[in-house]
Amino acid sequence: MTAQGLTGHAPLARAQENDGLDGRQALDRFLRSVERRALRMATISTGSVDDALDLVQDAMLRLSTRYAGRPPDEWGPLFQRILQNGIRDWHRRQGLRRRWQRLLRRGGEDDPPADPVDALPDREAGDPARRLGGQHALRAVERAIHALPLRQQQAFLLRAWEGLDVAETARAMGCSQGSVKTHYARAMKALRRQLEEHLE
Amino acid sequence: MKRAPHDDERLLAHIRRELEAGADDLDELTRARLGAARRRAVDAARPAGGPLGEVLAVARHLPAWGLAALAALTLLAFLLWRPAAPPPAEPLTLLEDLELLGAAEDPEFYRDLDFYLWLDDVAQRS
Repeated sequence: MTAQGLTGHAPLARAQENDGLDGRQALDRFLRSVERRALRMATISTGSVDDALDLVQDAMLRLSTRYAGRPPDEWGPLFQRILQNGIRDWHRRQGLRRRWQRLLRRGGEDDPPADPVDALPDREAGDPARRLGGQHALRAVERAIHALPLRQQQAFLLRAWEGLDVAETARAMGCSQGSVKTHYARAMKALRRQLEEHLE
Repeated sequence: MKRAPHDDERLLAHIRRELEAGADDLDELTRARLGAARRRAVDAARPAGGPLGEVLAVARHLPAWGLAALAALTLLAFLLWRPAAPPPAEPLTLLEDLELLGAAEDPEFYRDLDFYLWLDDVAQRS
């Protein structure tokens, strides 16, 4: 099965039709085309809109200060590489913080940490039409993806949503193409199990 | 039991639809913060071509007489400033080699070495 073709690299292709545009306009257009998806991706992964905004802002700044002079068709993979590295570093820092908190608490409390997806803002609160069915489906999808291990999450979102092929995904994740295939297949298996009922 | 490919396509289509809905449905405040982040990034962008590109980008906004004055000043500075002849090159000692190797890049560069090699490869092919 190929994820590519279903989305057809739409966001990247749109951003790369930059002929005749000033460099900054082209960069603005590119960032506009990827920012919302990048934010959702980071929010699903971190469970925090604020942290996700920081990650996306950092990725945008790094791209513009270091790579704006590169050809626009390289911006997509570069941006994803920077963003995915940022998300991975965020998880490392969180892991470290949790270890220290456990150490400092010295086993005083054993409550499991709250699922950060539960804290995501309810975007449909003011829209009764969507509230009936849409919210449940959206939250189920977000929760299922959030529950995946980080590398599966990244492989799945880059392939299935961002439309990158296996080689581009491997570059963005900094791993081999074989690893991408494995992570993607495992993610699909888990999501099938989790979301089957929503397709009935 | 092996699943039919269309089952996976249906699942993927469902997931994409929901994700797209989530991405399009950002609240006003989040949209504004995202837009501000983008504008900051675009403002911070260096023009293509590195330092020369920056000079050219500035020059593009100057009127013709300003450009002529800038060129005259540059020529005058070049004529007045004669750099001293460089000292003859000396062979580097082993210690200097090690210092140069150690100070060249930060650790992040080495962690992403494969990525920069790929970038270089792409640049050479294009």
